[in-house]
Amino acid sequence: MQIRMHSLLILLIVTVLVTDLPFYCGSIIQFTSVAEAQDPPRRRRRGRPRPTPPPTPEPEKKEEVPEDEDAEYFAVVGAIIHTVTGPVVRGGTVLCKNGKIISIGTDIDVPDEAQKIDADGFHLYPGLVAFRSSGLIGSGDPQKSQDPFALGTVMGLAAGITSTWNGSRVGKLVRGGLDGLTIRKQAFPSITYTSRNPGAARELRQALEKVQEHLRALERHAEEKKENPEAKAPDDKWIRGTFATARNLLTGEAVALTRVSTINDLRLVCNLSRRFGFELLIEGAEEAWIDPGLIARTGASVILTPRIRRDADKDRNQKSGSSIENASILYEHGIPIAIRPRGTAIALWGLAGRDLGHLPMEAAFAVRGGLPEAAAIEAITIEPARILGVADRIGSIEVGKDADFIITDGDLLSYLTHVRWAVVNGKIQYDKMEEGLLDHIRPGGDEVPEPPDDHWPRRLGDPL
Amino acid sequence: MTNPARKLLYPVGTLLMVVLAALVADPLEARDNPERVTVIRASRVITGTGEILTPGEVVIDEGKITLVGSQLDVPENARIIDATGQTLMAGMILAQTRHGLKGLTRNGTNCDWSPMTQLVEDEMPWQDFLESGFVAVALVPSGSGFPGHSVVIFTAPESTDRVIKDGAYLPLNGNSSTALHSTISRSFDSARGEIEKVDKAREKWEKEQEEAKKKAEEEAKKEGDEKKEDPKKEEPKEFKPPEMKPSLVPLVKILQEQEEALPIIYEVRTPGLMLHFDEAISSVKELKERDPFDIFILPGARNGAFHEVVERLGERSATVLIPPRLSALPDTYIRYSVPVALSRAGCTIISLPLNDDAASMRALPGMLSELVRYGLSEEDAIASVTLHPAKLLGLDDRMGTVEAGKEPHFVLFDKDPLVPGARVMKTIIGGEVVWDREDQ
Amino acid sequence: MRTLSLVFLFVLLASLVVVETAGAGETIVFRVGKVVTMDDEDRVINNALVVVEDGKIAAIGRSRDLEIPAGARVIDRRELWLVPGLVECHNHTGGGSSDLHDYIYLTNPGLRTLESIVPDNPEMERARAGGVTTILTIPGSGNNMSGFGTILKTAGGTVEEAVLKAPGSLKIAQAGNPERYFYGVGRSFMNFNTRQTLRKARDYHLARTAWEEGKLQEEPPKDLHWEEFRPLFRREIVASVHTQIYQVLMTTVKMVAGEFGIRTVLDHSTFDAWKVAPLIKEDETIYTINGPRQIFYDRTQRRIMGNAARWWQAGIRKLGVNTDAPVVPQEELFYQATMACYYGWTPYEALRGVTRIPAEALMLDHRLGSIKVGLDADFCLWTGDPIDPRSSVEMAVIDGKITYEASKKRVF
Repeated sequence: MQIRMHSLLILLIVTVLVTDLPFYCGSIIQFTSVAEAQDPPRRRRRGRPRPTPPPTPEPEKKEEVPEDEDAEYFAVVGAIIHTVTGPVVRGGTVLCKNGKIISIGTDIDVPDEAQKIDADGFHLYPGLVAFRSSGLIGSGDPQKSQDPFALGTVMGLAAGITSTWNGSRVGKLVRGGLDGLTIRKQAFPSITYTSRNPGAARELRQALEKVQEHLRALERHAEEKKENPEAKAPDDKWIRGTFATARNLLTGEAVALTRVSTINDLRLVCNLSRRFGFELLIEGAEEAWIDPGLIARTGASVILTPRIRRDADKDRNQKSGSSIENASILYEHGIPIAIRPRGTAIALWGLAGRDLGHLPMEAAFAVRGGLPEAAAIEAITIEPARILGVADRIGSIEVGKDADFIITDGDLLSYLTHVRWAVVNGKIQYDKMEEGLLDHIRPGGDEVPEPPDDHWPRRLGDPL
Repeated sequence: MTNPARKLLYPVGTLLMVVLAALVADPLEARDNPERVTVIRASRVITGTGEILTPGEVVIDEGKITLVGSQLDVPENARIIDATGQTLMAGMILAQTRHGLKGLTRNGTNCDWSPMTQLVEDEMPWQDFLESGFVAVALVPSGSGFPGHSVVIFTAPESTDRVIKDGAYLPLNGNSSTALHSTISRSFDSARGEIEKVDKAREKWEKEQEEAKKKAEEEAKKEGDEKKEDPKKEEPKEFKPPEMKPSLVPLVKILQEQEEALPIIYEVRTPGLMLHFDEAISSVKELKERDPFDIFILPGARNGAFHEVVERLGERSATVLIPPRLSALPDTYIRYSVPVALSRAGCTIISLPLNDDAASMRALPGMLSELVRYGLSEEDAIASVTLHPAKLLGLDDRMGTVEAGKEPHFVLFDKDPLVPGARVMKTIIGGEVVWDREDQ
Repeated sequence: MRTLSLVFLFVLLASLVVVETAGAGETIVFRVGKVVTMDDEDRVINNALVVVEDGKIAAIGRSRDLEIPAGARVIDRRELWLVPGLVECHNHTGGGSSDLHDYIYLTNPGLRTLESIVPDNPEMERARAGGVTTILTIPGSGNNMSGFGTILKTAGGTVEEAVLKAPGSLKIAQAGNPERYFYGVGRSFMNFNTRQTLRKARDYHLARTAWEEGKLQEEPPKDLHWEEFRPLFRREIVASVHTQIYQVLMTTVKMVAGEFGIRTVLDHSTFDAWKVAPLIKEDETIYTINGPRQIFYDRTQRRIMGNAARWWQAGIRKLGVNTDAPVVPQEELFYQATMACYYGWTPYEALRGVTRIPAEALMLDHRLGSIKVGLDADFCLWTGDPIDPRSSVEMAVIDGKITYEASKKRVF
């Protein structure tokens, strides 16, 4: 019986390999563990809580603060607090202790020794999270490479960005010191799986197949070992390079990052992700709006630039090209989206508004395409934080999270709004009026010279 | 007097001086006759102790300054070095240079490496140091990481006693913060490894000793029962610690807080690196609780950016080696003098030439005058090339000021050294004129 | 019978076409929430009607004051703002691709962008979707005089239908780009060269004028090369001058506008060029159209300056912005104003700077740039403040024709 079971198994595997049929072994054989390995796991809908269960309004949860001599308190009083994951608190207080938010609400006792910002009339948002950047924090481990006096960091803070990913670490924009710079190590293996590079695509597919086979062999080995402790483990010395990447993806240790534009390439890579059951992060995705269901079914997250231009391919009798509605269509299909501008540095040579110097404006373009404003703000705060695996620390204003936020003189998505203060780890890292770079622009905050009566509503949505 | 007339007078004057010098101050005679003292007569003497003597004389006897004063009675047989019209101050000390050194750079941790191995006596450009007024220089080997230790030498072209101090400080170079972190952690880890190696060996030795002792006692008991003779007492073997890697010994000394431990001097290229240096040092567990190293080299490039760390450096009364250059605040055209700001904040300033070459060395006094214009006191400006480097190198009991008891190393300028255009006229080491503009 | 049915069919089709394109003879009434007229009184009319007849604006007024003409087609979008079509003074994409850089000599003014216009190119559709209804498409700035530009509407169609004015301007480039390209000449030679060319052109123009007025006996020989320049000296067209940096701008103002009396539009006018404001204020006909750079990092005071805001603070009121498309995509003309506002300008003035001011700069304010009776019916319906990237163009109307409708296909 035993032998027959084995031969059946081998036969099945050979069949699968030769015919390349979609094959769900789990339904045939009763070895649950093996079945799990063979069945491409159904993409679990990534836990995207929308609408997010509003965290119980924290004001009630007043923390009895025991007297603590060394504690550093920091409080912002009177601001309109946009928590992002919860309700908006008007005229509220955010109290922080030793770099963490300890309470949010309208009725909070602020210790006398706390450093206080009177932010009456200002808005408070979580610090913006730039999915990808260069020149804002050091390369590699910021703790060891950040120039704490770099102008790029100041510019990033002035733009409201308090955290970013530099390709290997998620780090914070901290000036004049080296404390609390790095949040975590984060690397996304980059995969290329497009029709334009069939060689690389074949190599990756074969690597995934081979490693998948290896993983099954490991499962079998584990079973075998129960009966025969001396069973030989399958050789894994060959798992290097592409194979190692493939293993990380298949075991779920890593999320694959891919830069794809066209719908055809999106289909290819999404199908690959679904066939092998690995998680996918798509950057670009200019034509994703054509088949958002595909991305949703794959469970992929998308990093996109709403304003990107990609001409339609007139030679093809199908939809193609970029769409300003991309962000909103993907959002409606429940796909987690983060927004990045085209440029990932901050340039001072003249062309303004096309890089990280104006991340909220890029989000405003997504609103132009139909994305709700709240979702646009999520796409530059909590969503990139989730994608980067740091949502437990940053990305929203919640008790227990890091005290990283920006205080603006207006609605974040408005073009007249400047960051007045940027706070990281409970310390003021940027103060517009102290810094000098932009202090000459509307020093009185968000005010425009009085227009003639009935002439010029200042804001979109003001009554006509 | 018109310029041509002045020009005509120079050759005549020079000739006269040479003759006079030959007649009056025959150095051979002076050496032959130890009774004779040497007297330098200058129009001004900047003592460096707060006094300026006009005119001034310095009396030298038996290789030491014995008297500094104005219009002194000079013994008749004294050898006179006449520097009338000139200003005398303590010989200048260059606290860091690689000028003239030969050979390749060494990267990594090589604390035992000496720049003297890179020095070819006959090919050294002594002239470059002397014509700029430097009597002593601290040579450092080149390379990244810990390239070696510095050696202070005299700059006299011929010297039997070239080395003043072998091992004055440990230079540390690292232009990228990542490299800096890894250099420091790796080097001190290795040094700790050496200490542990010795400790282990000692433990082993102690154990052996104890066992040997026990054995001996037991045997003695046995033997004592049998014979009452003197037991053959084995001499306890002396502990021979295993040899430490010489390249790590200076770091071991730092870890063990030994008296003769050398300070680390980090060459900070950007202000951010200073923070990384502190961070890296404090991540070495033995050094975490200690006072931070407080001597830095701030080389010329980009130094306006250092305004960011002026306060920090001031708070710890740091010693800063820096070219006296005016620069701009970073990314601006706003003028700023880092050395002056540092000095005001409470740092000790040591001036370095802008570049490590002859032209920059010659230009140094002129650049000091710029510092004075931007607010540094004249005293501090002079001390930044005399007393302060002497203190840094642990030589302030021997040089750095013009006072009785110190060694007679001087530089003479044709006018006040802080007047733009002042030129070095004579450089004197050990009471001997080793360079004279009039010989050139 | 068959003929009759054919005729009937024809009439039916024709009427359909007319309705679709809202062509000549039809009256359309736009009922909107707000009209930003950009007229002389800076009127903003809430709950307004704009009546369009024969491609021109026939009436404007509050809906309660104005009667809807009988038989008019009413477009009722009370949630939208009606804003004059945006006017671009500095564009290079009228030909779609980068076909507009012909560098033959340091001055080859005989070249015309007119020959390379592709009215239906995709850039035009995007321009409409960004609210831009008129562009001046000019040759590049690789040489000192690269040719004559063309003013066209972005509605597409044939060249004849699209072109509003050709030649529309003479492109002059001072310093910057011509220095960087392959001629290897410096600033003094370039200005010498430009001046020589303009002198010869002016001499020719004066001689011909004298002859035409009968002041000269003998007819000066006709030269087609110099003939092109005559509208320039008659001040019928403008010079679009690629000029930036204080020193270069001074030369522009003194030479082109002063010495030769040419109507000058200062394109770019970036970096510290605003220092020239006192000179410019003397001549009301000089227009400053700033862009594509919107900011300047002033190292003397460590401040980021908004160029437009600096010009405005310096007292310049004939101020607009441009994109230099494709440097900044044409549809983002409004966004240049957005950035100008972020860095210190004011929204209303910025909107004027992309509508009425560039229309005046191109001497077309009698046809474009504001909502006035008698002007071309070039306007767009926006979901709100056009300077705000969140607002979008829902409908673009050029010459009374609806040329873009987001509800059918949203482009931007």
